[in-house]
Amino acid sequence: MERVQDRLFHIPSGEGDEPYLIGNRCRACGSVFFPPKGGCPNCLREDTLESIPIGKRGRISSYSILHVAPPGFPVPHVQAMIRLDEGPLVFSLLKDVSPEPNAVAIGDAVQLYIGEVRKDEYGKPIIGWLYRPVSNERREEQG
Amino acid sequence: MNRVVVLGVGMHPFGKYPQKHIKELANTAIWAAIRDAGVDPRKIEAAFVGNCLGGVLLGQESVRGQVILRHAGFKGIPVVNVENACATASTAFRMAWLSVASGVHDVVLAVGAEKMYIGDTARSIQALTMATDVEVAGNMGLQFTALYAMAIRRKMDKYGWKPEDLAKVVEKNSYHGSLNPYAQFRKPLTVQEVLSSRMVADPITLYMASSIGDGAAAAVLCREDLARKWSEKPIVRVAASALRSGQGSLLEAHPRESTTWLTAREAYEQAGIGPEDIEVAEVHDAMAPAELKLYEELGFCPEGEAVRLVREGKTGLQGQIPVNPSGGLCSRGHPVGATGLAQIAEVVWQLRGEAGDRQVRGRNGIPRWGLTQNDGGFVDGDTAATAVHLFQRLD
Repeated sequence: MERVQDRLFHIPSGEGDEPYLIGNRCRACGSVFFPPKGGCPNCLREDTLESIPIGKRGRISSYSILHVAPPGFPVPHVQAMIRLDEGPLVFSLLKDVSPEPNAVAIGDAVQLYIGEVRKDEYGKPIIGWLYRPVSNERREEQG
Repeated sequence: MNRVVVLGVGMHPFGKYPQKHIKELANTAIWAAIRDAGVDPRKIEAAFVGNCLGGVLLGQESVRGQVILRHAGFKGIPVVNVENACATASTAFRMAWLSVASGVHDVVLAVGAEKMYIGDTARSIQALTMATDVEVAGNMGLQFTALYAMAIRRKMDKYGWKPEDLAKVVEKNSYHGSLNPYAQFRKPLTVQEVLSSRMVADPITLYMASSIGDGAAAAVLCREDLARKWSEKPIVRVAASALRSGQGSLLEAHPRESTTWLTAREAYEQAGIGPEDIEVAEVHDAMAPAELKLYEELGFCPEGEAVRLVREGKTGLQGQIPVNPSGGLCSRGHPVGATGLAQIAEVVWQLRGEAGDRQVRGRNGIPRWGLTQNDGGFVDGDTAATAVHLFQRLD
């Protein structure tokens, strides 16, 4: 399976290992970034950043239901910007959401999982970071 | 710095030209601008040529500007290739302006050309998505329609904007476009037609979105004192040129923290005027409802009040502050690397009173102050490039 980019996220290797995005934090100002940067834009220094796991939870900043999609994506599907709990704003796809207006709302809590983003031109899955409503997560755990 | 004027502008009409090479599109615009300027072409000392997608769509890399200029008959002069997402042509114009303002050149050419109809629409649309950090968004299917949709959804959520308000912008601009012989789409659309067209990226419908297109636009710039000697047309001065990259959040920034405002404020300060002085504006409505967001970010109205401007017709041809008299990106068309100079051409025509049926009325007759705003790309949560230019007709 092809991954979007190994340097951007962690795929759980077994039970108890959780997925996360690979961000970085500035030791000087405390800001957190994704994707990981080579220099802190607040301090404009290149020697203050450290790698940290982020992105397990976030909230929907906004979303759109796409009825026209690039090859390999289901139609319709939901694209979203997620405000991570740690601060960064990340583009992702919303899964386990009915593609109807008002199925989700701005501000809803979402949770990260690693899964199939789309299929490539040969039908092979491309793996990346995806989000789904926290409530769905709970339902699955119960069910 | 030297004062710089736009001596001439020209366009190849925007549209679908499967039989035309990008060289031919650019050639038409270049020679139209030279004729309009009335300048001896031998006086042109340099050219700044914008093109955005020729590498991926036409397979032409590295020397697109030289290919275009040699075809047009120019040799020997320095040619600079400019690429800056959908703000490419404005950036080429700015580089041309800088070269004259700095005193290096006296007369220069700015060109923007794009060919997107290559017989494979999916590829053309995919090429547009590359104006992001492709490591992060490339495999994720990020669509600019979706980005605009998400930004607009936040406004609808916060201020109660209605789908009818979004469609009203298209109704206005498609009417403007119907009067513009350079426009790709010349059919006036009603609010009802816009709302009942196919949903593309909720709440954006098909008629709210710009299409792919072919086209070119060009401008001749020169020192103000030379223009007074050469041209009998009203002289349009470049009163300000501002260009910024993103730094905040396209979706969440307050209008006065947006990259658009930071860029516009820089331009207003350069020119010594404010948003209230603008009498005509061409803005980047790649999805027509974005125009509403831009009213607020350019300072035309306070936050949340944009829909009032369009509901009350204030941004129509006869309104207080006519916006996109050309039809904007959705009607005039959006061949991405040409758009910025098409906006500039429109404002120059408007300030000279040469815009025909779509001529706007300024506060005292023909408008004196015009604005163009052109942005493009999406990097790290914000627009990648935003350009704002201000133009002033001199007496």
